[in-house]
Amino acid sequence: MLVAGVDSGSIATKTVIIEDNKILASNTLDTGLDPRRVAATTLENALKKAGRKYEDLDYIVATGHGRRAIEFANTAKPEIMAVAKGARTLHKSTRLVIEIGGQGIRVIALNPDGTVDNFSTNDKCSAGTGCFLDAMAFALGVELKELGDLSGTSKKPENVSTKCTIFAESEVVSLVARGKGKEDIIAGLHESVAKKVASMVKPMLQKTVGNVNTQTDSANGSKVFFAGGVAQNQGVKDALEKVLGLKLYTPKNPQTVTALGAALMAPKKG
Amino acid sequence: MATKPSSPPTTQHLKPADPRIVAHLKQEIEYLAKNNGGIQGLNYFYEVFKEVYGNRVRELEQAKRDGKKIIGTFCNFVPEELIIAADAIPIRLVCGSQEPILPAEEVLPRNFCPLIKSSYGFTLTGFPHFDLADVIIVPTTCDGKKKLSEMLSEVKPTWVLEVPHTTETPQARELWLKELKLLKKQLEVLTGNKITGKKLKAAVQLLNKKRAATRRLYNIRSGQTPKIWGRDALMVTNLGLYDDPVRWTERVNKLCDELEARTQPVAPPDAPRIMLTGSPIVMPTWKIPVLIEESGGIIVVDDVCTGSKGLWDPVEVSHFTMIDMLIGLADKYLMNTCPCFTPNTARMDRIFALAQDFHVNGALYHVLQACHLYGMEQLRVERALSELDIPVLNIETDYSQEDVEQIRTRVEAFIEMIQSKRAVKTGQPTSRPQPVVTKPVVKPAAPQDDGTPLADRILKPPGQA
Repeated sequence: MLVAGVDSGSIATKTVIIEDNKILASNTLDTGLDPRRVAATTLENALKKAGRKYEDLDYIVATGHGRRAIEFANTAKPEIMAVAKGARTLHKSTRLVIEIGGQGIRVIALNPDGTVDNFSTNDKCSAGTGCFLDAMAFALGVELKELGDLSGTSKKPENVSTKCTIFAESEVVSLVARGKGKEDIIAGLHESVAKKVASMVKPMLQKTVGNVNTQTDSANGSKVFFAGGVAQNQGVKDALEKVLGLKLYTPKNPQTVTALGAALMAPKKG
Repeated sequence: MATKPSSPPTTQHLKPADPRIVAHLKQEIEYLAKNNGGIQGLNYFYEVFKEVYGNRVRELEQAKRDGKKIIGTFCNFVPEELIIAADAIPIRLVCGSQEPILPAEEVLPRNFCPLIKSSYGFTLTGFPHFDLADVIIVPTTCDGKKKLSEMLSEVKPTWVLEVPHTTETPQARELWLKELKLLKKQLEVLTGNKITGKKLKAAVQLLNKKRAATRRLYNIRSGQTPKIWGRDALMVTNLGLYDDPVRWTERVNKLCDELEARTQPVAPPDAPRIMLTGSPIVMPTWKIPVLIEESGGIIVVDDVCTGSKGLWDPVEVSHFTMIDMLIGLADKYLMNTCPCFTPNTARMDRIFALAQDFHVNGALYHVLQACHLYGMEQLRVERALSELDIPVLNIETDYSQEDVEQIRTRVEAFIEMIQSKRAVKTGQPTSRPQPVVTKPVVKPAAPQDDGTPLADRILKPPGQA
């Protein structure tokens, strides 16, 4: 059974093609101003990579911010359920999913059987999300993709006290004016993101992961799955591991976990 | 209670309500009317609500010409029995629209309760109910209302009704009883009508009938078959704040007659049963109830001020002497399970009982931005409901529409979570038919692959989506 999962996020659109629960291909593009067309284009690109035709698809599941606008999908699923499904499928021991996307932070607690037990998300505020980091990269004149590597070279992270995107930008500007190194400012920003996310994660840790000290020290044994575009940033991952005191499991392509999960949510052929 | 000095009321030409508010209200009502499952008894409420700033205002104007006083009230703590017994008309002054917030923010702090900002902003741009009112009564139930009363007193005679912080001490109950006695006197002076025992008894009985009708409607909703959408039921109780109580009660009972005879459900019988609690939900901002029910849930009960809260408990009087009735009134109004009280265990007990009686599967806790009292009680409610293994979804929002899709994602996930939990618990998948794929369905048939981008073949032109 050939299924496509299309995740129309606020910043990036991701499509994953699976056949009988195996990933064939994926494609990611910026969502831009025409989410419907971009969604169709990622589908087209992914199909091309997989060497399949649109007509061969049995089912299309849409998810993400723009899921309701994707009229060519058979069904639309909320991304919270989709990312949970994707994470659990990629990493069996997952009990807690942390997903940081372009504008959303989602923390999802899973029962031992993989069903969703509880979840929390950010409200309107964009603090700690991908677009927060995007704005900071712009303020510092670096590429978004460089943030992770740059912060890795920091010796002494600066303290960025605010979590608000707008205020943090002015704080960054004043740190730059005081002659602070870019890498230290970026490392400080990553810590600020980690603290914001940790405040959402901590209330759910006890029930899902238990006492963090008893956690195995390897990422592969971790019960905490880190997904979303921001999970590609090693600096955020390191900072989050430090604040939470545990290792995170991150798949090879954390950005497409939600699209994969959506595809896996297609009803089985009857 | 203190009367604030003010300029004499002017008999100005009444300014109509902001047409954008009226348009939004009509749009929400029309959505409800279109999707109500064909319940005839709701039409009255739709019609009156659409005209709440039109025909209802003309009714009030007529009453005023006939010599009646109009008393504008904020919040469920104003004992309307006293107002009615003084031959005056109570009308709730509360606005749920985003539109008046901008003018209000020119004066008020921005990071503040939208209900207060909206209600105050409405008075600046022409709020017919407010403009018609002879006196405004503002209970001291939250910081927003306390300071609002000072702002309003600059343009209207405003009476501050002191609500105690606790319900449990004798001095608190004593204070509250004294406030009601004073209010009675002030109403008598304002209207020139004596509140006699006979009149007060009639008013108590009248409003108790209103409460009994409300209970009847809720009782129908406690049954396994969802006979009315929660968003419609909440609209009915919300209208109860503005409508004539006799007429409203009669129509609610008629609606109940129809619903009791009805067998056809409005939603699948296994739709997750949701309790709505938290900050007030006021027309025309109906996004929360609509989102819950568009996402596959059904609101079966609530604990919000515009819903069951003020209409749940009757005034209990055994001997209809004046003092007995006043004590009965005082007791009833302290039974409002409002987070302005500390401790507020009554609210936890109420929510716990409602959750059991209405077979609730999940609760949505609604907090208006900067509503600290409801925000602070979130955790206690969550704890109370966790004893029943009922999950709670916390939503903080305001009157704007910008977060509708974000909230939709969370509500949809919440409903799915409840369904999957139930499936695990019972070992049975939900009885809702799951789509079974035998061949490609719904996917629009794509025209032949002629080498053009896929998007051109499968997307409808913009605007037809």
